[in-house]
Amino acid sequence: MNTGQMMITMAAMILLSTVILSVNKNALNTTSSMTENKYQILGVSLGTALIEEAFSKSFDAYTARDPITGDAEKADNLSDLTNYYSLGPSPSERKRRNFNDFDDYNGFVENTSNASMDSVYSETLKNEISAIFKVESDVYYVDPSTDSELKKVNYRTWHKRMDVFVTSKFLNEGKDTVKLSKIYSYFYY
Amino acid sequence: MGFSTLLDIIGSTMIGGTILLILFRMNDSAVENHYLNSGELIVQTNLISVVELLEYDLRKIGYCQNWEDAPVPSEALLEATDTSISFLTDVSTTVNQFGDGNIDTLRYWVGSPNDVDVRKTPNPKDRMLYRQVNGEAPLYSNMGVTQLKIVYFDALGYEIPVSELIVSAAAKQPLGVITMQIDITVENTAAYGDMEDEENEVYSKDKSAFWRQIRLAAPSLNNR
Repeated sequence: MNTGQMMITMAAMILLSTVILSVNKNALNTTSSMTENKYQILGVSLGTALIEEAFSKSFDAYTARDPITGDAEKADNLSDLTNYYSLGPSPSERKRRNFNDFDDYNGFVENTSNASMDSVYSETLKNEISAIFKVESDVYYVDPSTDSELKKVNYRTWHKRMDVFVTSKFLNEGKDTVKLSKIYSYFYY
Repeated sequence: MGFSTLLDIIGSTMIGGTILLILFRMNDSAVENHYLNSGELIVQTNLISVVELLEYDLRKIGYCQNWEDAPVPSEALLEATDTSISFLTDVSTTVNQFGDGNIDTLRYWVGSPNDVDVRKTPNPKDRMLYRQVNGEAPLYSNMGVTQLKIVYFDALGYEIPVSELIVSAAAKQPLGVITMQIDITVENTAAYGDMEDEENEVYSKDKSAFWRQIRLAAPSLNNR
């Protein structure tokens, strides 16, 4: 084999190696995307769960049901509602279980550690760690009459918006965030 | 033919053979990846379909298009176990998506992995998901559900034991369920690979898709 033939052979080998590496990289990328999708689905479920939970609570601390008497105040004026800079849990509501109104979820942060992906029903463990998600939420007033994008306003309205952010190192190495939003409006009948 | 020519032929045959082996292996990998990714897609699509169906119906517990006929919210849930749920609602019709105004009884449950219908599938863990309206013949589909687990919570957020729920349902008393946690796992009913090879278990948890949501039993159960 002369030098020219050797050069052509080397070039062919390099070309083949490049193709193999490229194919391998594509296969790994696809697998990685499919796996990430599963975690994103799980992240959406956890975010939706937090929104559902928040929607089971009263609109405002003022309208919250008294745990002893069962009575609830009716808010007639916007001034009855919690001021925009005080949205969040009160000092007596340190635990999530104690949250009694929607805006207590402002500034809420929690790491989930029991989102299991174990498929064996009878052996599902409550605290088995499969993926750790960080779930955060913000609650603020919005004014649909002045802003179609429903951005945060610094005054009280009859509408509160909740943004939930779900992050995990399993979602594009922590670069992606699942964001969910929902608006809770006050009504009384 | 000289000795060097013979060496050239032997060398090029070896290189050609190696390249051919690499190409065969690449082809195998491509086929395997194609099947695995298609399987993953099916699993994820099935999970979303199951969740959409359940979400749509569970959201309407205690709902009736004719609101005057809507059941008492606390009595809308009829039966509840960890693998089944039965409730009053107004099921959508082909004519009216909001229901016909008559109260219906809707029941969801999962079968056993040993049922005849799912024993035919290669996956030993999949179960049939059943949906029954008003005691009619149940509709069912094998979407690869391997787990449907529902946990029920009271107004204070404490878990209600299933035995307690069964007793309350039998006595036709309100179950007191405010929120419930729904765990759904979906796997492929027939994944790529040889399932007889135990060391290469194809139906493992890393090939399943999982959904966990804690949701209100019904939005109308709470007075805001």
